[in-house]
Amino acid sequence: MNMLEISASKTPQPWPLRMVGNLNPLIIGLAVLYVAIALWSDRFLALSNQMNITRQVAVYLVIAMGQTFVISSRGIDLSVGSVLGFVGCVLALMLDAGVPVPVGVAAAILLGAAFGAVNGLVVTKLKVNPLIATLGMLVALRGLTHILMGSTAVTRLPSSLVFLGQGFVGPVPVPALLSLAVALVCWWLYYHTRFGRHTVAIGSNEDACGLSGIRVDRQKILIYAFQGACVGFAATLIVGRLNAASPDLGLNYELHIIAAVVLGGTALYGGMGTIFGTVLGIFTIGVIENGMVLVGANFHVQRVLIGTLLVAAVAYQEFRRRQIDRRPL
Amino acid sequence: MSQTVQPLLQVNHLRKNFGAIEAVKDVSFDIEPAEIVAIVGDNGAGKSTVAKMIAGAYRRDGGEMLWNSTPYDPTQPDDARAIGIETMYQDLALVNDLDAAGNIFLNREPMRRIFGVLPVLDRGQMRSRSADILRRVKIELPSYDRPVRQLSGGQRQAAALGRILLSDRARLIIMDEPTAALGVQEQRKVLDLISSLGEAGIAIMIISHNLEHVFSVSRRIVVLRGGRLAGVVKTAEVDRQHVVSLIVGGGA
Repeated sequence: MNMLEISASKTPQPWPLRMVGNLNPLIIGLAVLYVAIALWSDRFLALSNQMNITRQVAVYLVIAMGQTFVISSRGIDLSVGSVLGFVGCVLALMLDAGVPVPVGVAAAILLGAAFGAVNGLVVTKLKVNPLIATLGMLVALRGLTHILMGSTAVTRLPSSLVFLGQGFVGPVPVPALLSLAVALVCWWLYYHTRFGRHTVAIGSNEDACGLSGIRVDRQKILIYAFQGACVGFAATLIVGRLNAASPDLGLNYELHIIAAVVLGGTALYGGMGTIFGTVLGIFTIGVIENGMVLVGANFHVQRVLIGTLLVAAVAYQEFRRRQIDRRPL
Repeated sequence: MSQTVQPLLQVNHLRKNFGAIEAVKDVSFDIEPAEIVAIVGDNGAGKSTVAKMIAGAYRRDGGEMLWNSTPYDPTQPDDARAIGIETMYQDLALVNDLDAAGNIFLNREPMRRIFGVLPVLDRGQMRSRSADILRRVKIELPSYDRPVRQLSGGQRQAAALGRILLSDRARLIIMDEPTAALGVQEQRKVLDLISSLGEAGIAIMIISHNLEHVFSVSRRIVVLRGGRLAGVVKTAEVDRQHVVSLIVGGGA
């Protein structure tokens, strides 16, 4: 044998088996939820209720797409709820003052990206742990939103913005379509561009990325800015859906977002993530919220369930990771 | 004879501090085109630090470097790569969650377009070119699409090797302990590869603890001790005992 002897012969699994092996386990969880809630409430499976779920999760989904990139790079962004609140309020004030809707939407996305870039700069240039950097942003920006708005809320916004949040195309809600479009763009970015690949690579081994010439700081700032842009876009959807903006907009959103991303299978220690998993995670949380209302459960039961699921998901991730690391070749 | 040859790389009075620690105090040597030069020294002699300064991973704190007689002052690894210096690091610097092809092409990923518009990573090209590159040096990997964390030590080494062989413009390849993690047969293959790269006109700077390997491939040996140059010798003119005495110092 002339070849360097480092080839281990191993017959690959046939592809149906591999597909089952690679199947996101959350699909099973979601299926069980569907069956359980459908058995309990006959309204759950109705088309109008299913469409209602897609509308409810649209805002979460758009934010969670950005968060998937952040967590894949071994970062975290706790400030998404506060950025959503601030950008949403600024957007409402702008539109109330007569700014055209397209300009307002573009401004919201840019403003969100700017806050994200600040998070990224604090994490990379000031070397502040992302948990603390974005926690600071969460608190400070919520304060700023209340200072900006006082105790008032802006209501009765232009109808074209309301259409973005409340409209329908046939039976399908407009925000659901828009969030699907964002998810598709993110799927392409994550799996098929250098931006996505370097995001995951940085989460896996930052030093190796630096040695390969990847500009790690710049990439991280871009990732946080991208998350911010997603939040900015989500702000237009939520303000349109509520036809109002108040200083409490987006409160506690970060918990749902992070829970969904982690539930979906994106690793908190970076280097591994899944766009489809995040979509599943968001739907799981949306179905729980919707189902709990239908079966008449107390709102607080939701929180118990989601909190428990989150911890279980991380425990499962850790278990899988140990398994994979031990796998012999 | 060799005095008439223009050196490819010259380093003069190189110095590097880490806080209060002077890792490299005063190191000077040169490498000629297509020459295989070994850097040896005890742990902490400054070998890897010198390599990283040449590779653009560390900024030097003093001294100068010349590449083809013109000042060379890399601020990042890309600067070194741009002029033809490729580096294989001791810890291999692999991204464990990417496959071998992804590591070989890290930050140099080829793109293609679907429907003539949407740019996407060309995974097929990455895999086939990775396999080609390694096959040229008689290495076969069982899988180019499996995370390298699942590969054996030798296979990971192969992925790191593939990375430095990707560029066809390499003039100098730095290898930090390329044989340390390998079995005996694999070591032999890597040493053969080093010799054949030298014959192909590429200069090699090999850092190694293994004097047997150093003697089998190098033309000259640079000995470092405590961050200083302890001596530069022609491999053919010395024996191992002489090099060992230079490494450990003390009245030899």
